[in-house]
Amino acid sequence: MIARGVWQLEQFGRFVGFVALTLAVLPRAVVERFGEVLWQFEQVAVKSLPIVLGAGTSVGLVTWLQTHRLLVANGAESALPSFLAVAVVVEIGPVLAGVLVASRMGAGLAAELGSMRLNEEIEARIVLGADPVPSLVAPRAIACALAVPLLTVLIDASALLGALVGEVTAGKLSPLLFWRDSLVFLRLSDVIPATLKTAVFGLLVGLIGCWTGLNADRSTEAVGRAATLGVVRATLAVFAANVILVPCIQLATEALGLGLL
Amino acid sequence: MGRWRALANAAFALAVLALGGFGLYQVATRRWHVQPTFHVQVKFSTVSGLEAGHRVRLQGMDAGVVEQVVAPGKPGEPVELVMRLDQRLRHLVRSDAIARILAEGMVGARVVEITPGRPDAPLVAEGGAIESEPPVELSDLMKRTGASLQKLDDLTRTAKTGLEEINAIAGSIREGKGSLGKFVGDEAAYQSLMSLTHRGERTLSAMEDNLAALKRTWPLSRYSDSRSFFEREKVLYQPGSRRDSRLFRDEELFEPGRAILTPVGRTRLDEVGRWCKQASQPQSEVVIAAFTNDDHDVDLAEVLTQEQADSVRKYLIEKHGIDSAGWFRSRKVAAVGFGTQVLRQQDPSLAQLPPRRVEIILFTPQT
Repeated sequence: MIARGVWQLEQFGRFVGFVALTLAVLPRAVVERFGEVLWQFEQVAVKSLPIVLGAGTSVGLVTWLQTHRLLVANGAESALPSFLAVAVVVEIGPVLAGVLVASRMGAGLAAELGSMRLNEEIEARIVLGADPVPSLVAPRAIACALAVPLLTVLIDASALLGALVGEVTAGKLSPLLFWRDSLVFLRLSDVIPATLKTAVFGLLVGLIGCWTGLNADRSTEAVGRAATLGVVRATLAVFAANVILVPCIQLATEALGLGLL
Repeated sequence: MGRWRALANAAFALAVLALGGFGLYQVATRRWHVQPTFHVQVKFSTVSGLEAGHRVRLQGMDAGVVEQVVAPGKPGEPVELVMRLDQRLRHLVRSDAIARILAEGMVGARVVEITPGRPDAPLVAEGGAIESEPPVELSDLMKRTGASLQKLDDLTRTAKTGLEEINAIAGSIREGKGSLGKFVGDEAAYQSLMSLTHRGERTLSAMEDNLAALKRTWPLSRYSDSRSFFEREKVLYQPGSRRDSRLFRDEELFEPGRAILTPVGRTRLDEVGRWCKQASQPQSEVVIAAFTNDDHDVDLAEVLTQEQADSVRKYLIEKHGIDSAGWFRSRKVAAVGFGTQVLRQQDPSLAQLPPRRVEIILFTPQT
């Protein structure tokens, strides 16, 4: 029991070292392996487009439907856009983007690196002098970190669009009024940190996916397990990071006096 | 990766960044980060939960945001708000503009509402101060409501005391206490009061009769006649009626100096009776007026003319029934002896009438 706890602690220590190493080589990797970064970015961002847009529109529309019913019952229908925009832009959009990327890339990266390890491709790279961290992990991590904020913007936009579709179909507000109202409670000090924090989500997803794949056992089953584990770990990491980041951001805004913006 | 593919990726990234930038710009616009703005400060004794970032309105228009809430340095000093307002609305904000804090909508978000001020006042300077109006606090309102309720309560108590007193009085009356109570409770007292009232009425009417009789008794009659001088004359003055009359000298009807009808007189009166019957309208009225000249004593002349008029009336009623009009209605037939009196207001055509005469006048109301 204790041995297992110690082992897990050891694994965590290895992971921290892995993260530190990756962060250290990150800037160099961007410059030296830009093609690889771009390729991975395409994998993460462009190929996530359908799921992101679909999820965003669906969430916006459904949020509108549920909130609309409640607010109409209380005669506060016109307050809907402002509440909905705050909910979507400040919290739902970023978390949804993080979770979607975690499920998609957590599995993908773990499986990819796991099968590389199964094929002894990693060892071959090491022998050829290409360390896996700068050559494989860093481009993937940075691509994820860059892609998720962009996906967040897309989710926000598509969710607002979905809500607008609901409003135009069944509501009373005109699109222009909807747009102007939805901006009422938004502050730059909320919107910018909320969007930028998703870069951390992306980075965590990339790191955890790669770590899980690199540490998989050498068997086909293990690759499958690694994929599942990658999704679970990445998603949990996104939620945990959100919990930690939100108070930190609020404290930071307060301390810097940016809450007035 | 091919060149075009890389370019497509870059285009994708740029497009999304542009979208995000547009959104940020819109948010910034809505909070007046990017437009030209100016600053105004205002002091409030309480800001009722207003914070930096709450909106400012000018005549209800969205005009800016609260940039800063400056806490007072010492107790008793007001809180200072610094507001960022749209430069395009600057010409409306005069130095006598008034700011108020209002609650907005169901959620209770606060807004600062600015009323622009007079057009001849100077424009407020950058960072200048404007007037404030204290916000309506719910607690103040409750306090005032409480005071009003207290007053209402006092009033109710007073009214209640008054009612209780009235009730007590009513109760004691019901129980027969006090003089009013005894009276109210006693049937016999009521009956005696009622009989007293009836007796009083009877007495009064009897007294009236007696007085009337007294007035006709000489010598009081002279006094009362001179007083009723004009009233007697009113019998002949009926402006609302058509006046038809038959005139007889008294020697045509009566034995000289008497009130006894001669046979000739009777035949004359028969004619008159027929004439009256012909003109029998229900509301018509017959007045028999007898006059004489001043050969006689005044009092005797009164008696003579009255008796002459009465005998004419009696003959016409008994013989011709002129006092009835139709089967059921009766007609007023008045006999008045005027004595030696000369009527004041005479038709000029009647000026040459013989002084000793009997006039039978039929008044038919013209409706």
